[in-house]
Amino acid sequence: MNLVLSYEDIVNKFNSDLINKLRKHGSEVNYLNLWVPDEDFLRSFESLSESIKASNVNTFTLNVKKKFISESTLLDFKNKFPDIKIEKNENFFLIYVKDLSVFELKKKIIDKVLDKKQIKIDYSYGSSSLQKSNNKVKKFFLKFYEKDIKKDISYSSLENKLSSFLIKIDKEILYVDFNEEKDFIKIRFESKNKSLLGCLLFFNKIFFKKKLSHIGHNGISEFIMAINKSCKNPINGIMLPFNYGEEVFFVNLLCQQIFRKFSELSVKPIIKVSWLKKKLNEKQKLCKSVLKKFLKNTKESPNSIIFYNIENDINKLPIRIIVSTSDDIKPTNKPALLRRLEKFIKEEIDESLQVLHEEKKDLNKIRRL
Amino acid sequence: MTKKNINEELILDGTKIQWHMDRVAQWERGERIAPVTIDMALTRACNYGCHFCYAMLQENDRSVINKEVITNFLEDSAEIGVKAISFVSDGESTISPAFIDGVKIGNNLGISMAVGTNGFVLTKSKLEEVMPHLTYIRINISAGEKKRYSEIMGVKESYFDRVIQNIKDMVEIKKRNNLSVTIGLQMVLMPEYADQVIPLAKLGKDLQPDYLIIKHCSDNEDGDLGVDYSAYEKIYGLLEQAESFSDENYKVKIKWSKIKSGENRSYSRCYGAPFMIQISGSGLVAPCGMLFNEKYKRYHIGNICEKRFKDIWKSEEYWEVMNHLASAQFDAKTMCGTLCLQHKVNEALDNHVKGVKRLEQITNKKIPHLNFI
Repeated sequence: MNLVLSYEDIVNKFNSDLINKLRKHGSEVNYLNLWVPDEDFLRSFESLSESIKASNVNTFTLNVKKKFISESTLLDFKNKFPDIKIEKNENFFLIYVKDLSVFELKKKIIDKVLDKKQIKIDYSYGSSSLQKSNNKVKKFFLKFYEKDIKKDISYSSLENKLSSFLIKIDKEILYVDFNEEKDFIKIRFESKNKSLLGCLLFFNKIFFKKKLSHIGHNGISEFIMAINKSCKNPINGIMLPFNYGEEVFFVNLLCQQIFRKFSELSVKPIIKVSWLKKKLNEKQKLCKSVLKKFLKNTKESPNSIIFYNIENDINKLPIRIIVSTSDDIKPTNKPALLRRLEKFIKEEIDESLQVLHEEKKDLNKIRRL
Repeated sequence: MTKKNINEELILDGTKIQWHMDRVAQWERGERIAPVTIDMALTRACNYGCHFCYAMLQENDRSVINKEVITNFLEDSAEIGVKAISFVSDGESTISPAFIDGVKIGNNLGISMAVGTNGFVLTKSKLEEVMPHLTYIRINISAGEKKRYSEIMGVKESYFDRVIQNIKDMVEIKKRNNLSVTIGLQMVLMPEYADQVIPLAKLGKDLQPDYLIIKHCSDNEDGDLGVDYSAYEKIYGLLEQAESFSDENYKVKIKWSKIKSGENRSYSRCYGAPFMIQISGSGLVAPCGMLFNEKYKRYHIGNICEKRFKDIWKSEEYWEVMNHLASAQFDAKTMCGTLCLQHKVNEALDNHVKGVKRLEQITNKKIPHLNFI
């Protein structure tokens, strides 16, 4: 069999299939299924020869347009394959490979992977929070302390019918008060440190009547979120209890101890009853009206984001709002706009809601054995 | 390092984040850190049709990653401090025309390079070009017998013979040239392939790669692939038996921690994404492969075919998404697929924040594949 191939045709097909053919790429033609084209023609040719040889075809002719082979490449080719005949035509070369059975490609091989070294530092837990006091956040806590100074959180202020457990953090002693349902009531704490007192008063406000198990699992993240709503912390990277100053680091240590004590208890998602009780059509109507408000506020066209459906999450809670987007929005702007929409829906309807885009399905069916 | 030492030191079921405390410290201080590791593909296309393919759930718009795009990307990665790149993610990178250049350029820039592949097109000539530049090469092979290979991997039976030959060539090339690259086989195990665990362990023993790793199968949060996590327990005995095929030069390892934890995560926050992002074979930059599908568009950060990676990394969008994943508004227990690539890193960082197990710098132990966390 004398195989005659057009290099341009096979390259175009290969590249087109990378975009359009989803699975089993290259499987149609046996003698091409090991071949991967390359900008480097020599490499591409070697790969093609190997692929054809592997399918037990011994000879082939390759029609290659001149645009694929520069003068220097041609020279390299002739040096590497002196026995292969090349016929030069006006716009193309014809490469005649007569006997692939003698084709052996050998390369000189030297290991080029360098040993990688670890970067060692002086590290201790929480050192970043203690080295740099976060002034904005500290000021916020001080202000909060001044505002809430009358709230009694002294050690003696334990209320009736509440339980309490003691926590020691460094040299400080705190009491965590809770009710029979394991809802958090307050921290009792005495100190001359006003910013720390302000911080714990803020903690008491944020978490009043929230489950202790919830605070253990999510407390520090929610605490940081709550601070951000009132006070913009200039962190460029990830907002963590390590970079909000010593007060927030202290709260993290507090949450760690609550977690240790109550981590076994399950944490249920917090969703407004008013949302759950609505019928589906009521939920849909509400979502559509909030979406309309959002698009008006952001001056986007009314059809740029379209409400599609409400789906359940894996816990069977109806909290996934599915939307689709039109070409009215530039593709690169869609992600940011969807994030803003989600934030808006969380504020307007319920914190638990998520915004998902209409799914894109793989055109191949998932195989079942 | 002798082959025996490599096998003993490999961390295949954990994280190496403790060897990168410099980056953890920067993260704690609130600095914008470059990922230590990026997992990506050079194309979303694949020449196989594997039954367990997670990429089938992550379709997104396709662009072409050509040599120019990958060169720019690698240069940007080196510039900002990315330490390792693996060509795995959601496509078969070895069928991309940019594959060989990608590996070589990355390595020459000082980035550790690796590939996960079905191994089919990696004939001798390509192996001789890329192996000297790779830290590891890992072959996805979920069967040890031809017929079952064909069924599970969705290809003709003859493909099995080609892959076996290619693995033999890899081992021979490594040995003959004394290369440092680690050669591994990986079995993505769904409980219904249990009959192939022992045949594959035996096949590996004949072929003598450095290791065979057997891992769970990931699924999305809706369970569309139909992985029955409860069924893994029934085959623990079989997996222990597979481990017994290990010898001085060949290790059979099971990713026990992920197989035993099943679908469950202990953490809600995703702290790992800034340390280890994923890029789709379409060029899409996302925190991870679980979020490639269009339905997670709100987490899509950019495309390296359209914008330089260092500009994407510096952008407010990038850090807004990363902060969202680390915030109380995101719950990985309910909003993510199972047992992601970042899972062990997430677990370690979450335990660090919660004080369950603080990360400590490890300096008295050198490990291979340092930069693949």
